[in-house]
Amino acid sequence: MKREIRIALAGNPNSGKSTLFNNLTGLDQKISNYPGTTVDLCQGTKIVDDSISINIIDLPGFYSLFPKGEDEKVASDEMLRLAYYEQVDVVVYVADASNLRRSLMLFSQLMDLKLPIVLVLNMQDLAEAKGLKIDTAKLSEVLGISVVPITARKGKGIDKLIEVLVDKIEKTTFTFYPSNFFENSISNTIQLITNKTNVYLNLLLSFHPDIIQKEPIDFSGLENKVDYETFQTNDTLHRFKVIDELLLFCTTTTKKKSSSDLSLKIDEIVTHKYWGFLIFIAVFFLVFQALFNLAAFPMDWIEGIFMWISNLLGDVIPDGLFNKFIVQGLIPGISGILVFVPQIAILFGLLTILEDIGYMSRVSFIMDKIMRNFGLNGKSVVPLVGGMACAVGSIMAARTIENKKERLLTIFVTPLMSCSARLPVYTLLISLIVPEKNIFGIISLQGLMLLGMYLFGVIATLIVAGIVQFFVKNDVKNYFIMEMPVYRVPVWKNALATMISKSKAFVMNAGKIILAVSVLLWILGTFGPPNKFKAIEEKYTVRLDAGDSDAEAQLNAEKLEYSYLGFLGKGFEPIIKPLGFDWKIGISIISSFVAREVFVGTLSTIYGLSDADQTITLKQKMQKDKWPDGRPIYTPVVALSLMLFYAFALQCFSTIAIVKRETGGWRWPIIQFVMFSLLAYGASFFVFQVFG
Amino acid sequence: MCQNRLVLNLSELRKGEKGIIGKISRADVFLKLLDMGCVAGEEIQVQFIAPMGDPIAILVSGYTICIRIAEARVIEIKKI
Repeated sequence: MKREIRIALAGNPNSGKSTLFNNLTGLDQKISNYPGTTVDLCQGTKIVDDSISINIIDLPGFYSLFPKGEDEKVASDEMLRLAYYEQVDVVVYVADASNLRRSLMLFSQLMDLKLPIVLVLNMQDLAEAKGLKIDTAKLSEVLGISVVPITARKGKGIDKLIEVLVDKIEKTTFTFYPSNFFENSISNTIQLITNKTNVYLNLLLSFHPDIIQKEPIDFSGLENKVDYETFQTNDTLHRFKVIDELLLFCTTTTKKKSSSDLSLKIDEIVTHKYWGFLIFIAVFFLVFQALFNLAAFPMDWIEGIFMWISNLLGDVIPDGLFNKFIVQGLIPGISGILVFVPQIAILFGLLTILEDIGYMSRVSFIMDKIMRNFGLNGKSVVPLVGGMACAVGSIMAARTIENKKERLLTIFVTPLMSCSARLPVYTLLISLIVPEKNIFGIISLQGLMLLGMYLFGVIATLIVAGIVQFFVKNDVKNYFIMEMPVYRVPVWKNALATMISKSKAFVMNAGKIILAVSVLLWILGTFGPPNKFKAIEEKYTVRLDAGDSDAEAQLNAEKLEYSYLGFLGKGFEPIIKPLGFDWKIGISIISSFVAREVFVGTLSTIYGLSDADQTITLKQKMQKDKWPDGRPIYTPVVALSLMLFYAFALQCFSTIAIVKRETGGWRWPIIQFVMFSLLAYGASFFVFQVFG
Repeated sequence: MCQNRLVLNLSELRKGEKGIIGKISRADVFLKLLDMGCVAGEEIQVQFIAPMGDPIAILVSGYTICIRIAEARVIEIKKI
């Protein structure tokens, strides 16, 4: 029979947990919801041999079982749950060997939960550079558990760890926490309530009765409860005392040279008064240059491949409705999704590298003071920059912000940053109105306009945060305290793992929606009231039979106008006419309330239906398009008005869903949706009415 | 300002200066620092300061944490 070992990875932030996770699982990972909760966990599998596989879940980094922020609470709750249900075979605790004292604090808490645990001492290289020698054999003997030294970044010690995990995990009697620390009366009462014998677990459960969701524990009968803060203080201080004794016994320091000397020198420059901001701007300028230049090639390939497939299938499949469905509905839909993948992968890859080398925490550090003016926090920079890739993941990254108000504001404004889904919308519209010219030979005008839209997103984000901050109530927890890891060489595997998992998630989630919308649009655009369609067809029969070359295009255009899709769009037109938009843009806007990137797909489907000429591009079709009175539809002002609409509008179901989840209700997503829609309409209205 | 006072606030330390942590008079800051092992009796050093003078980065038992001036003010320091 196949043996499956369930393990959970736990540890402080920056302990190298994710690097170990990537090292163990390779690139086969998935992000999933933990059953019964709304917690996202990274999961992966390590196949040891034919009979044994290891199932690994990776938890967010945390400092203690007394969580301060949302991300810490996720991990801490999970630990209590695993201890309560005894649902885990091994907890692999990843300690930063170069910061052993602090790392062992949380470890000691987990040990006292009586979780089956293995202690991994990561970053052996850094510890050695610091002159710290750890006697792992002695440590293992004292604690009564396996201790494995590794250097995850270099892949050292991983094999040994797997050996240990496959072996039977020994139970230990060692405790850090004296069980008689509290009056027996209290622990006895709690024990009667929880039915668990572990005093430490019982006490912690009494503070967090909500984490056991299946059958919430009723602590209402518990009188004179232990004071949370006093308990935490005594518990932690006691643990540090025991750890200090333990370290005295098991470690030796040979030379007292700080390994962070080089790191400090880099920080002198990176956090310098003037250089600091210049480097920040230069880094992100390079990121965006890389993004557009690197992604251009694979995007061209993807488009080329789909063009080829489309032509091939168009020839092979016999003419008729099915042929049209494949060529006009399905293939443009799929290619519209896949064409974004290179950009999303590259952006997430670059952001992971910046995080990995330790630069992102410096960005938080130098930006904190500026962000505070807008009611945000230095840590808001990470979600906001991430918002340029995708708001959905970034909103979850705001969990690291402990202050509730700053976290809420960050969540609120992140969707205003120009995400990658807006990119195709902007790219298409800019190509319509800005000539493909370079100034000074190298700087492309279109690229400059695009950069302008990104800057506009940043400014809008800050202004909205600056205003909304006055309507959110303050939180008692109000501080910015964050660890700054030493600079490290990036681990390419980490970047690659993120690129693959994010691309996969994008194709699966957004892909399904875009595909469904494309198909629905094609159906609505192809069919109409039968009588009306018959009449139109009869009108053109004579001209078609005479071989009139314009007749077919006109027939298709008229059919689309009277299709169900046309009726829908026409009904919507009066609302958007003051913004300069026609019914085709209207349909595209409505359909892209699901997800912004649907806009381009919808336009291609609509123009594909109305103009069957496959030799000209969507751009050319749009440039040709006119109002009934002969004026062109896509004037520069209309394109600008449309871009502003997309800069503000909250057109993304996934974002709305994630905001609801992260803020715990419908209130904030509704406020956000209404406010951003009004801003979008207002900005477009203003531009078109004043300049149009 | 009396520079040779023995007890001052963390916010008053200049770049490179060292001190020993004393009383931390705000509960939220105390509990957060407690988790990170930054407690009374630990030696600290101001490592570098953000471009606009706030926040500051301090070295505590071998690693760096950053903290705003507002929170540094509630941390008592015995200068060494």
